[in-house]
Amino acid sequence: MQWKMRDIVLTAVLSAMSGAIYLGWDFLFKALPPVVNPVASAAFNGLWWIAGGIVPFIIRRPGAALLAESIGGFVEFALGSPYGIQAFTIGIAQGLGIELGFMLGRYRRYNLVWLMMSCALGGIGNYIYSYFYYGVNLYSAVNQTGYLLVTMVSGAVLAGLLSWLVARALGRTGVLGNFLGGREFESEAL
Amino acid sequence: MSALVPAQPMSLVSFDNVSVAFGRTRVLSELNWNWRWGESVLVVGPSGAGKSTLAALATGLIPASIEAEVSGELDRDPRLSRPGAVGYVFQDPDSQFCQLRVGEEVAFGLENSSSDPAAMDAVVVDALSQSGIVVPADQEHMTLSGGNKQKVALASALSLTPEVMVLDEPTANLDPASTYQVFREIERLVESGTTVMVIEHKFQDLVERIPLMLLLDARGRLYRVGPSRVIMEQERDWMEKNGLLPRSEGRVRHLPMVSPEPILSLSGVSARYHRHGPLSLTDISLDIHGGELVALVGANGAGKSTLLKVAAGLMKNSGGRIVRPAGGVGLGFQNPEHQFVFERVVDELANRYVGDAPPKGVRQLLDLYRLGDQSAKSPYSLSQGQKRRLSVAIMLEHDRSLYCLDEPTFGQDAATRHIIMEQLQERQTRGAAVVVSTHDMDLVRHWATRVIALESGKVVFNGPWEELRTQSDLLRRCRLIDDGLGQEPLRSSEPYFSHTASALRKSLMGRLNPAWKLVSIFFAVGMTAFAHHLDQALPLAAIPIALLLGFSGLPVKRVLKRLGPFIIFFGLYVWMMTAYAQVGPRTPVFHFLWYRLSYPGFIDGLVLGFRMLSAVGFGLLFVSTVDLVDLVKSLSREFRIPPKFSYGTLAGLRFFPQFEQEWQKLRMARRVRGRDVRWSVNRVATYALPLLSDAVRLSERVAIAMEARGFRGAAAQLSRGRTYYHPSTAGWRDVWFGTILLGAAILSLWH
Repeated sequence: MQWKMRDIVLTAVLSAMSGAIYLGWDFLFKALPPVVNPVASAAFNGLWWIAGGIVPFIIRRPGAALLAESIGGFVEFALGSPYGIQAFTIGIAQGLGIELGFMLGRYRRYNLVWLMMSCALGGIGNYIYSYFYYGVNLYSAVNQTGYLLVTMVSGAVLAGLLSWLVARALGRTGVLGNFLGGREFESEAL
Repeated sequence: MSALVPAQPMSLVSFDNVSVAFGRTRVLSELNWNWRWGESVLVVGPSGAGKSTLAALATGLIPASIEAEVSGELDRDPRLSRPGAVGYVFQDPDSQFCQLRVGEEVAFGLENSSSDPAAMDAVVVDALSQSGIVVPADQEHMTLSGGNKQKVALASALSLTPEVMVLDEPTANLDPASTYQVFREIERLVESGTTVMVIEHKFQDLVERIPLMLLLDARGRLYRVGPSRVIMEQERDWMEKNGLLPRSEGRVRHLPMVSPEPILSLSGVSARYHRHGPLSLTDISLDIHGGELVALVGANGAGKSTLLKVAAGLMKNSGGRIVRPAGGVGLGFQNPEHQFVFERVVDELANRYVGDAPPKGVRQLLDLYRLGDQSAKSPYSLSQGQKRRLSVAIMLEHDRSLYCLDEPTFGQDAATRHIIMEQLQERQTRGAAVVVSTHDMDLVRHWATRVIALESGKVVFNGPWEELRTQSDLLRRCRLIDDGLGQEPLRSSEPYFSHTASALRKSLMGRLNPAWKLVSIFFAVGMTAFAHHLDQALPLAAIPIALLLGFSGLPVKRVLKRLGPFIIFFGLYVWMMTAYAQVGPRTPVFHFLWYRLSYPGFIDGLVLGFRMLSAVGFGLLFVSTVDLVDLVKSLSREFRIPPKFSYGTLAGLRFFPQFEQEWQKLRMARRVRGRDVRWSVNRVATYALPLLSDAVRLSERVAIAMEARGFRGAAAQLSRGRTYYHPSTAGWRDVWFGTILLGAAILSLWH
């Protein structure tokens, strides 16, 4: 369960890349959809914690989701996110949610279903943070429930399923041989 | 062999029937060898012979940092386990660095061995001058040229006065002039009595400098070890057979008919990467005819790659006129992986998914490029040589009248080089034109029909090699021979991380300890959640703005510019709340489309907007007055975060600008290759695959390099297990700042 040096560096590298994606997403998908409906906008939320999906899935260490999301959020913030330092703090909240999922699996369960479930829990972290800091508490109960559910589904798909697809493609190339999460795809017949 | 140091009888490491395997792949086989102190050795062998593995095993990097199955008896002198006893310089200068600036980088090893911080500066300066480079300690090494980077890497190793130095292909990424300079440093090391192991493809120039030579064959067995000169004389045949030396039989250079009309014609072409950036190419006029093989030479950054991209039409020229061939231009990228779009070698060659029965043409290609037994493998899992051959094969399979290749023989052994050049020549004899950029003077001599030399984006020579070789001044300026003038210019690109100008650093905010500043700001932003009225949210937003304008040293204009984009988001919050805030049953509501707009909602929106402005202001305040290295190190020093997490994160973040550039290159390559591959869900996951697999390998290399520099045990695990180059800045000032900041925030919420 001990973190190796390469686990940490890879976490930082992948999270920093994700941070750049988050920043693009900030401008792309927060500008228009919310005008239509907050529940509709929730459908795009999941991508904001993809680092918390792909990193723990590849390196499989306790705390990986939290660290990945903290770094990803920090990079997004440092690059000039319109959310300011909240990009970093909400990252921590999302990371904690995902971390809870893997913790429930005692850091032994790393399959597609568990990954998607954990990433859905990341949506709860996002919801709780948004409740206090982004005015979600002011929405009607219906809108709030819709926001939570759609956010969780979005997390499961955009953070969970997408992470799995990328990790599988990467694992098949054979470069992940020294990481716990890469080996299972290596032998997969192409 | 005057350089031969009298051999000490003591064994440094002895191998008795040692074999090494990584998973199912065996790398070294039944090695028997006794390496003695003082015996500097040149390790030579074809790609995949296990040269790097031998070095890692000898110095203990296997098993300490690299997992492998080792069998047989291995006896290592315990002196090697002293931190800093072994200095390591790797091939890629970038992937052995883990800090941002030269001084910090050289001091990293000193920190690991808990040296006294007060004495570090002197050691750093000394190590740098020993390596033949004079550079300010606070310059980002990212801005240095490859040759200068490698000197900094050498200094980092030398700062610990190692008894053993390992240089693993130290010149693979360098131009000829820098290569000679590194070779001279190696010679100096050997003469000074350090035991040196060098792995090098271009070993011919080292034979006179390193007394002992060790040959490994393609299957990882020790073929021969002995005095370098003797081996060089007696094993020439073996070396040629194993692709280590170009075959000596006189190659007849075909001089095919050159077409009278040019295939590609540039007149007065200039190009730049950014609209207001400097010109990368200036007033280039040249013609390329069918049947030519043109070599493009020049120092790193002279504009070779840019010229190829412009010629191929991937980059727009900002001035001048270009006439390109009607048959299209094939472009081969420097990184072969950028050209891969399929998951199997055989599909790459067929340019479509072919299942289990590849067509005959594809099978022939597999044999031609010696990829026969790799057909079902992932292109990314191939060796460097195989990847390069595959990428050239992919590029040549389209019939074009012009092929442009960016350093096609980079890092390749003679065998792969030969296959590639033969194929290019074959296209040339059929009337196509080939343009290759290269640092490889052998290639220029043997294959090129014409040479074009670039210097700072201008053509300085255009003619046959026989003419260029006599102009030593020109050769020096293009860094094709050792210029003897010492180092290259110190800056080849703009700094990326050191935006913190001295005005910011000297401001009140800049002098605060980064870790405690982060905590204070974290709590201040946390408190914004409790602001529910405008008269609470407004002062909360005013605090960071006041600090930004008064105490950060940031010019007002920059503050406004950085906060500008937020205005849209401010409007967004106001709208969201106006339309969706839940309001009491008696509140008047204005219906518009499906929205229900209300005044209390509008006020809620303003509150939320100012709360967000506060968070954005605090964020800007923090990020513009903090240095990344200081932040990372202070997290370990103040909050006892194990250095392996803080330093490891820094090592990863360091690559951000590099990946930004790679991403641009990848998008370009995808535009060329990707258009003939159908988009599907899977493509979303595989589009960035070259970038991601690069990231994984880079992470591994960095981690190994860090551990090789003594970053293990207490130095990596415990914040008190190491020393820190920069003095700590934590003090009463930070306590005052935190108290006043939180006091002001509480006061804002009070009413």
